Amino acid sequence: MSESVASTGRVAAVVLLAATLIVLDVFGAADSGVLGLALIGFLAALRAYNAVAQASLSTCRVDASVEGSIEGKPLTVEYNVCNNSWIPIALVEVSLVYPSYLKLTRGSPGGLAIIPPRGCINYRTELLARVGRHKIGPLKVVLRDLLGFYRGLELTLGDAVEVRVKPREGESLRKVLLEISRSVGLSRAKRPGEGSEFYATRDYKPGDEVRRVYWKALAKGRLAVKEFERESTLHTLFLVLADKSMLYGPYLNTPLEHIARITVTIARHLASKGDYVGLLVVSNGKTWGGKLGRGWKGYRMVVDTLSNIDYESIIGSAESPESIISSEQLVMKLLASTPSRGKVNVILVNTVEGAAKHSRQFRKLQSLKIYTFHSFIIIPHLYGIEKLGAFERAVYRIKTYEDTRKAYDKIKELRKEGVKAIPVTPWDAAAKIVSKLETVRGLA
Amino acid sequence: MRSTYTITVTIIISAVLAMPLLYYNLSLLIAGFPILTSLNIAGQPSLKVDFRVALDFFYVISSTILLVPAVIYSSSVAYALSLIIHVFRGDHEVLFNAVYVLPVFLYGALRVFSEGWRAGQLHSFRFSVSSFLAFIMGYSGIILLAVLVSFYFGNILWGYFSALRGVRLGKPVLDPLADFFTVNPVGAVIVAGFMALGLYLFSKALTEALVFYVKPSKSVAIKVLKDIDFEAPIKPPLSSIRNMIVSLALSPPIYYLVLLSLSRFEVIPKDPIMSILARWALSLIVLGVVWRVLIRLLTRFDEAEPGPWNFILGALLIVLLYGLAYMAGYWDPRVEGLSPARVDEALKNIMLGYYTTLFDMARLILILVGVTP
Repeated sequence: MSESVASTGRVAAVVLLAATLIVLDVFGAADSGVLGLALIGFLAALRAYNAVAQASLSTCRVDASVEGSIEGKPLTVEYNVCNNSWIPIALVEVSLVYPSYLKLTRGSPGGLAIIPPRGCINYRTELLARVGRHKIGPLKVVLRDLLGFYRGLELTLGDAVEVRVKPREGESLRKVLLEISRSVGLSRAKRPGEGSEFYATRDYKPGDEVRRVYWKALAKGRLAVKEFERESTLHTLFLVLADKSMLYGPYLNTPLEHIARITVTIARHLASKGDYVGLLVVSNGKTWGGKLGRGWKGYRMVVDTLSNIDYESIIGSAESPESIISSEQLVMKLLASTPSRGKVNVILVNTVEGAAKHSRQFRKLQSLKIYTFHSFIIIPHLYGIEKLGAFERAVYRIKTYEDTRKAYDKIKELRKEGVKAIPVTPWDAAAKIVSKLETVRGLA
Repeated sequence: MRSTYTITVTIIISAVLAMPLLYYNLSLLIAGFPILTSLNIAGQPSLKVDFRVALDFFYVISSTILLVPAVIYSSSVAYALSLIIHVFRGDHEVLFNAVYVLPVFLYGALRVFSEGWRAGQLHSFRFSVSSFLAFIMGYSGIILLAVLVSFYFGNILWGYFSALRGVRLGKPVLDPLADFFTVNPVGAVIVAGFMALGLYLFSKALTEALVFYVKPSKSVAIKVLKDIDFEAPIKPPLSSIRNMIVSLALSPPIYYLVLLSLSRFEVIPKDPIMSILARWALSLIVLGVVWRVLIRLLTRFDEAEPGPWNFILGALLIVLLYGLAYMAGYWDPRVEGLSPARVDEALKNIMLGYYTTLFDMARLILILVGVTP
């Protein structure tokens, strides 16, 4: 029969001692038989206590909470474990179950604890938040006898808590974007049309609305109407084909996190201009987001999509590009998210490895005439070096020169294959993407 | 994975705990050399004395060497062995000195802490002072209760054991075995061992069952159920009784054949008392082996629908065994040939002899434990 409490090898030490004491008494060397049997009895009593303590441990009330939802800020995980019984529980080996891709910044991932009778203990630890959806918890507990003679079953306490972390927006990036676009608010196309800003006057034509008549000109004897500058609205869909290569790199500086930051910053910028914006993340046959929303609604949709990315799904993605998603599925998903009016600018941001892997899909997407595709490939070896000093940065650049050159060569190969890829770095990616979009807006 | 810091601290504490025994061993070694030398110098090269001193020296050296793994791995077992070795040289006082005995218990605690303690855990776990005091009081109470209960039961059991050792049956058939368990220290140790084992197993089964009934826990129950080996054979109800009946039916001829073979090879002792003890031991061994083999065989019957061949094979086995015993019964040592007149008598004797042996043993156990006069 399986047991709820298992004995460890250390029990053998006490059994040996007890047996020696009994033998000594039987052979008449000492009056130690009672002590020998008492030692065995003590082991039995300890085992009984451990069985009861384990039952109490398994029925403990557990409350779990996680605070914090912004990338780079602490995620505070808190568990309150309350013992409802009168039995003190000692010792409990506690370990928090959390994704291996999250880093602990304060406290410990577990430890040895005691749970007082009719009392509670509080376990609190801090993780460094990174964008996406994460499952933290439950607690795994194992009852350990204080003297190390017995070991209980591995039990789980409490529930896992799901937390969604939003990407951090780059303030410096936003300033750069403002400089590029030179204005905030609605964008104008420098052509007459529907809008709210005055553009010019022209002679009245039959059919013009009376409310558009320019009264000042009429007073001077000229029948003219006011023309307004047409507002330019862009439809932008960010497309992220996420695979394992997106997660390589320093903590908070992986390609996925850079892309998330770039996307959310541009999305905010476009939202402030009243453009349509959306994000489609595709990984391992799963998709997140994909709908376009106007202005701040679109921005919120992008943030929600980014904070909903499931790392486990990306980590579990297979190497084959077709396993990420088939081209047909991808196109169907894109069509489903296309609004009824306006041409959609699809912004593809990927790593060199990812782009090389999905080059066929890229070419297929480029061939669809109802979209305008812009592929941006991030050079991988330059993540996180903005934190380095000037000298260290120079040394790092020399060190990674060869790798960077290879990456550029790879992009050149992709371009020869027909993929319209533009190399970018994490710092200039947003600026280059926005200038591209502004160019499109100017042409519209 | 333990850090280097934790391992180092653990080894240091282990070494400190082992220091008294190490000091004791070293003092014996230092004191032992002059004795050895003085014996030789004095011109009394007694081989017996030299051997005794050399053996003592070996014991102390072994005890000291065992302390090394005990300290490095905080091993309670290695330390206990190091301590028990002193008993072989007639020095059992070390077992009654708390300074020497405590590490057997503390090494376990040390190991638990070194394995479970995590850096920074003091920042993670919080509880109120009142809760902590409640815990200390509650836990101390439990440990105290465990000590008291264990001594109480230890006393009762030892009293019972002492009373059992004083039993004198005065029955010629049962005395050899009874004396083995009461007078003979080896037999008495076996009885004491069984008593200790019984105490432990009974308490274990009782608490396991009680906890499941008094404080049922879904998670523990599921975990225990999941740990059960699903490849375990299906046991129909009362299969143990069935196995026992079949084993008891099959054992007599096998026992008889084995006994006959052993007697031919003169393995059975000539001494009447030892001969009885040997027969009893043999009857138990045969019963045990047959039972074990039968369980395996019959389990195969239980798991699958047995075909006619299985039944035929089983029946053939029984017939063969009884046939062999029957044939053996023909053997008349007086005429050194087969004698049909002895067959029925021999078979009856085989069956009766075997069952009487088992019955005697059962009766002896009942008398020793005080169930029957």
